[in-house]
Amino acid sequence: MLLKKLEESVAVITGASSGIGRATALELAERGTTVVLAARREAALREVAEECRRLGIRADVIPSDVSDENAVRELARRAIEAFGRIDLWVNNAAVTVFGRFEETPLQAARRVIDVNLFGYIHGARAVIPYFREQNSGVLINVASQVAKMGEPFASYYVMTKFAIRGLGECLRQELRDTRIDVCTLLPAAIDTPLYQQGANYTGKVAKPMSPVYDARMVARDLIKLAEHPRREMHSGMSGRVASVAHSLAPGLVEKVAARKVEKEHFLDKPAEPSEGNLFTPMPEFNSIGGGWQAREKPSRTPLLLAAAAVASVIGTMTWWLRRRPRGLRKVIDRMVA
Amino acid sequence: MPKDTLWIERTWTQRQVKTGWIESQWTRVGDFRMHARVSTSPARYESLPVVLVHGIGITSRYWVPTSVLLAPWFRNYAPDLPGFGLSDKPRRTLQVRQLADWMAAWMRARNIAGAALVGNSFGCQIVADFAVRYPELLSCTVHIGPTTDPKGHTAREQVRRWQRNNPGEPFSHKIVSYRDYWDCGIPRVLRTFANSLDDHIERKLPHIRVPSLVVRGSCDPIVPQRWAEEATRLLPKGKLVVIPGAFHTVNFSSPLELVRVMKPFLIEVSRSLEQHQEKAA
Repeated sequence: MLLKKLEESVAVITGASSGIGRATALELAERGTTVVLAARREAALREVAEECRRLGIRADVIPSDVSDENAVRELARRAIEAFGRIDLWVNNAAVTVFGRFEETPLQAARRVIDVNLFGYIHGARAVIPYFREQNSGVLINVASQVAKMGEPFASYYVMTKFAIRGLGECLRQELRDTRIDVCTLLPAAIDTPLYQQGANYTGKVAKPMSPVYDARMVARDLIKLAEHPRREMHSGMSGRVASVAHSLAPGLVEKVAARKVEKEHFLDKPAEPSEGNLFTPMPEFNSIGGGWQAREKPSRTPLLLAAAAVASVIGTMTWWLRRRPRGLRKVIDRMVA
Repeated sequence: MPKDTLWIERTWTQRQVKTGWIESQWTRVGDFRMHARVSTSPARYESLPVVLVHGIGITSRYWVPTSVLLAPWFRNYAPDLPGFGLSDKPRRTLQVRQLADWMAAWMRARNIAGAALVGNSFGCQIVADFAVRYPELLSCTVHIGPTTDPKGHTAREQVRRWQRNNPGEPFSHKIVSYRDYWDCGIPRVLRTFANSLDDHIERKLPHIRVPSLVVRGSCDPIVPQRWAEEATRLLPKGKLVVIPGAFHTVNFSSPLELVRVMKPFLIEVSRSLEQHQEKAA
């Protein structure tokens, strides 16, 4: 739990150079929170910090690779020494690899697990001792909606996200009688440069599946979560719907999701096998968005929903009119006749 | 263990944070018996004693939270200056200069040298005066919310700022400070306040040659950011740390944060002292 208001709190965000991390840093800065930004790319971090400072808050930049435990410890220590306190720790830095399970090079798979899972583990291990001293604090692990259901061609990414959800569940139980909260945020498909930066061994260019949501929406949800901690929270309605469907009919959803991924997750453009940003960061992708929302065709979902509503109303009325008259209909019929 | 501070200590010792023990000790200095709360648990960095100097009317009692948290790392002493708290009271109210003299006399009586002087509020004025005139007794200074801001150097402005600060402090701060004012006597509190306005810390800061740390609570109305920055600039070896969400008495209401930001600074000083001693040996 946050002991103080957001404008008097200190937040540490990993992976703040682009995507959700960058959006979170800026949204927190707008609310007056002191932010400490961590990522591998120093230049991009400085840019974010400058934007934050323009909003009149204090921002600190500590370039670090989350897969290095000492670097993460150092990050926590420096934040504590500069501001005396950490109220919110956002584990957010993640990489991904696209490719068939058996065709993905093991080195790339290991690196994904190192960054996504061990990065979060290092973060939690670094900050929880300070949280225990304070007896307060919120740890938010940004997982994904695929932490609830599988997805083909991204097995290693999905496995780490499942593990992160498990980590949150265990930590919550361990920290039961403290005022420390551990939350897992499950964003849906988000418009971030993740898809351009991910390693890719599928032979095709990857893209997010529709509907694609804005990273700033995730950032706002994350701040809500920090203020009112909950176990897990979906960000983006499609994830929420999919997760409910998955718990009702897991077999069916697996089949549908597999077909949807095959159809929609990749463009028809060929792509050379690449390591993406796994081992060396890519300085060109340092924005919040990845330009996916603009490319997306206007969503048919509202239209479909409206059509379904109209159809169901017409259907109900037809059924009501055509069934044997009784009750209210009987009375109305008698009065008319 | 002084009974009247047990409850303050308990709030900190029950958390999962390293704390030490403190006890009351009396020392005869000249004609006066001076009281101090001294940490008794073994400290990690024994080479650097830390002296905690209180503000107007208040006493070592409001240093207790900081003192217990600092105790595992540094031997610390929080004296009540003559006229305040449980120490003997001189007939006349003492000036800043005289209080600094008493500090020095007390430190000599207790064989403390090469100390880190930590002041809060008016305590910083005593620390600054002390640092200029007794440089041989100290190795570094820490100013937590140093008064008095030269822009606002009037009784009226200071009282106004003090009133604006009060709602931000925890309720326990009221209990402790009112008890301390009672021990001191209201007339003496007011006269000390008048004396504090005669003193100009900004003229003394440039003459402090030792490493110094300025700590400011981000919500502190008595020490605005502008003055904290100016004070840091005036200090030849000054460094500023701002603690988000803290008010004027950082050492009482945010002691954990204070100890966390002070510790690396003090450790660095104590390391350099040890190296110096080794070279001399």
